[in-house]
Amino acid sequence: MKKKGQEEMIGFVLIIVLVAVIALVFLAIQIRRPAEIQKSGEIQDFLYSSLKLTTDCKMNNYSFENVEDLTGDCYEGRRCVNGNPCEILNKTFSELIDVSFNKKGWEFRMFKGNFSEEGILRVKKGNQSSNMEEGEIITGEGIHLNLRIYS
Amino acid sequence: MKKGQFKIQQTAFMLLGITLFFVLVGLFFLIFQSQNLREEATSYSKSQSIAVSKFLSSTTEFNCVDEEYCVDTDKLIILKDKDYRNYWPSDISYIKIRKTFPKEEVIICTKNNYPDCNTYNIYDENKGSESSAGSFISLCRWEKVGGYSEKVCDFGKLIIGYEIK
Repeated sequence: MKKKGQEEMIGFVLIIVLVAVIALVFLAIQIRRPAEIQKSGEIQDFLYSSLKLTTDCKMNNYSFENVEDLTGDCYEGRRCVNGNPCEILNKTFSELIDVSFNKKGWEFRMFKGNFSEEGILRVKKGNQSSNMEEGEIITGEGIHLNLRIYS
Repeated sequence: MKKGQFKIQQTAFMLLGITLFFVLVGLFFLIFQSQNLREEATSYSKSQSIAVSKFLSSTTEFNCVDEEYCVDTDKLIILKDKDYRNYWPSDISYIKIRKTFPKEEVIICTKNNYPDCNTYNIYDENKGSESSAGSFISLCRWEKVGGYSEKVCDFGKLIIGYEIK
């Protein structure tokens, strides 16, 4: 009787261990699965709306460049009367993204052609995480603006 | 304890264990389902508000000529006092346009302080319990700089408040 009880307990423990191992394997697969990049309409809207923003870049005594023109100036290596277009873009986007998205981190890239690590401009802030949303637009001059928001 | 009693006790414990297990699984499922339902309801209201905000920024009464994602604030300041009560869906509680960059203290726009202000109250019907959603837009106006007419654009958000049912 005692021996039979012991055998039942061992069987029960074995089943629990087996179920636990299967659950752990399943969990590990789920966690290791690379996060899919979610396309975000909100980020897309943000980028499109930002193109018209008037920046601090003065091209002459009375007119200021907007973000879209400034991306072209930065790519072509032109200069504003009062500074470097790429630096003004860097500052403008950093502040704009900070006030618009209250998230863990973000990364902004500007490039022409294929997606590349550095491109024309790359700005990032905060921490990266697997929970990410992305938006990308192309300006009239064929410059890609890509923004990733990490939450 | 007799062998029969032991067997009955074992079965009772087993049944209790299985019942508890299924109750827990059921509870977990119910919580998951109700969360999904709430999320769906919220996202529906939100997407409806976003649709309204997109519609508003593309209507000729408010938008910049031939441009998307742009509201003409010169038009806005004139039209904001018009009665648009019947123009909006009934569950819309308020419509605001706020300049969000650079960040400043809220100053409500009137014809007297325009353009040195940052918030346009387009429509406001106090409907009690409400939440909001919106979309990013640029806020453009024409200014005279050095004798020339120059387009100046700020960055903002069109915020739609909707009633929570």
